[in-house]
Amino acid sequence: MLLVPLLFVAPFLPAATRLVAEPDRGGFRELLVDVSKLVYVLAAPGLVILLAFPEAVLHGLYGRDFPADATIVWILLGGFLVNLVLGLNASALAAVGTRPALVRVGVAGTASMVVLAVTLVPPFGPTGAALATATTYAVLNAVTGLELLRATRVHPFGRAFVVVLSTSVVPALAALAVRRWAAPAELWTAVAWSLGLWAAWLGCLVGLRAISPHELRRLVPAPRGG
Amino acid sequence: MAEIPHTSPGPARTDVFRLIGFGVGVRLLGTALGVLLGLATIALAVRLLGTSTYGVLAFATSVAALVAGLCRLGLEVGITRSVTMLAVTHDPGGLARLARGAVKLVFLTGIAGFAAVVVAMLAASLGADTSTELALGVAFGVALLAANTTAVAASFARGLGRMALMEGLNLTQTAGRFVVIAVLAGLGLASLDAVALGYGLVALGAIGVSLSLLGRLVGARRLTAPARREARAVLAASAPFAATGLALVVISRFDVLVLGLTGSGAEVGSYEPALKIV
Repeated sequence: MLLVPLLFVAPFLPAATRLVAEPDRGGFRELLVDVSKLVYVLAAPGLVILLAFPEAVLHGLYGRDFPADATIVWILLGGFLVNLVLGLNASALAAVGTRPALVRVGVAGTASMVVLAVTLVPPFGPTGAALATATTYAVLNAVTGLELLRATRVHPFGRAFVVVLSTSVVPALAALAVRRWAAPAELWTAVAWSLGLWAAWLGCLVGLRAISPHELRRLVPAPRGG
Repeated sequence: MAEIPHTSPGPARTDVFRLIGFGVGVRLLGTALGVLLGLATIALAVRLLGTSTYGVLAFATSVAALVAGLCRLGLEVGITRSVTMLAVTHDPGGLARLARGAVKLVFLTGIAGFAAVVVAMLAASLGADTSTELALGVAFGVALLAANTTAVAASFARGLGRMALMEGLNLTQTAGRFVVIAVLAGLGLASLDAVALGYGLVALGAIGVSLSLLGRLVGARRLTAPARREARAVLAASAPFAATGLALVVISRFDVLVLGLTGSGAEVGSYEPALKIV
């Protein structure tokens, strides 16, 4: 679930910096909202499969003997979900370049991880490690989002992104129902269910106009000389 | 910083979305190629050197990557942002000064990093000859310098929206190392000294290519000329980003570190793979 944001962050920083330098606040907000939405939609199959079929994924990748613990994955998923929703805020804040805010974010993230890991890992082992990591991701992203809001009054929660976020509960619940009634144990079955539910949800998003063909067309690079 | 003012949408708004689309596509290709080349290099090296000797090479690779990352904390984000700002305001002189300062800074931190890698290689009990450990230390010290010089050039390319060039620069050493191991495997030469020599030459080549491309990008010659004031300016511009960079390093490693120190190997073995897939 870090892969999709990672692919987008490389071009996002110079793109956002350019809009800050222009300056174009409307464009900056549009970029943050639309790219955050796109990142969430593209990473959603990963979210669904890890939520509903963590054992199938762990056994499929690491073998039948691997001690798969769904609770660990679910705890981690909570933190990574926050990071997926708010993850581009960090690059947006970097583009704005507010130095004290960047330092505060760094200190908050480092302090949170050190304090929580030292407190939770010794008594609770892997569960404590997952809690420390997930909580730190939530703290880091919350502080980053607040700093970005304070510096620019911009946040990623546009109408379309809120629709995407709220409706994503449906494929998640459907996948949990599949877990309950069909319980796929093989990785490929879990992948097939997750992609099928994701595709159905994607169709609904287009129908609800939460994603428009125009948004995808404008990502296509112009031909040379064009 | 004050709030970003509202202006009417200009051509920049259209361009940034195209930059995102192109950048993501190129990044996807570059990442896939990097992973494949990296895996192929490991697979060939393990077969060529054997597991035990490969362990010495893997240790040197990890130490150099860790020290290189610490030496350039915040530098890439700071440079990318500064380059985009200077490009938008059409300040080629500023770009050239920034490039000289950045090169000076990575050479200074690179010297410290080089020493750290050599000391780590000699201090570790790896079971190889001292001369081989020294050769690997020197080769990976140069590789560290190359990684950071390449990172600076790639950050300039990224800041200017040249995403394909950025990806190409990122792949320089990975592709070079694959060629070295493939040639040695073809010759049947299972020697860490030969690997060290090959990796060292690849690193020197990467430094040359990076400096040459950086000079062309900013239209400047003699990037290695003295630039102490510019280096201080780059350091100051990158410092706040180092704080967030350090946080990301701590978040990605500290849980496993504490679990390893306080728990059992089995606990680490069940937690770390689960963390990797999320």
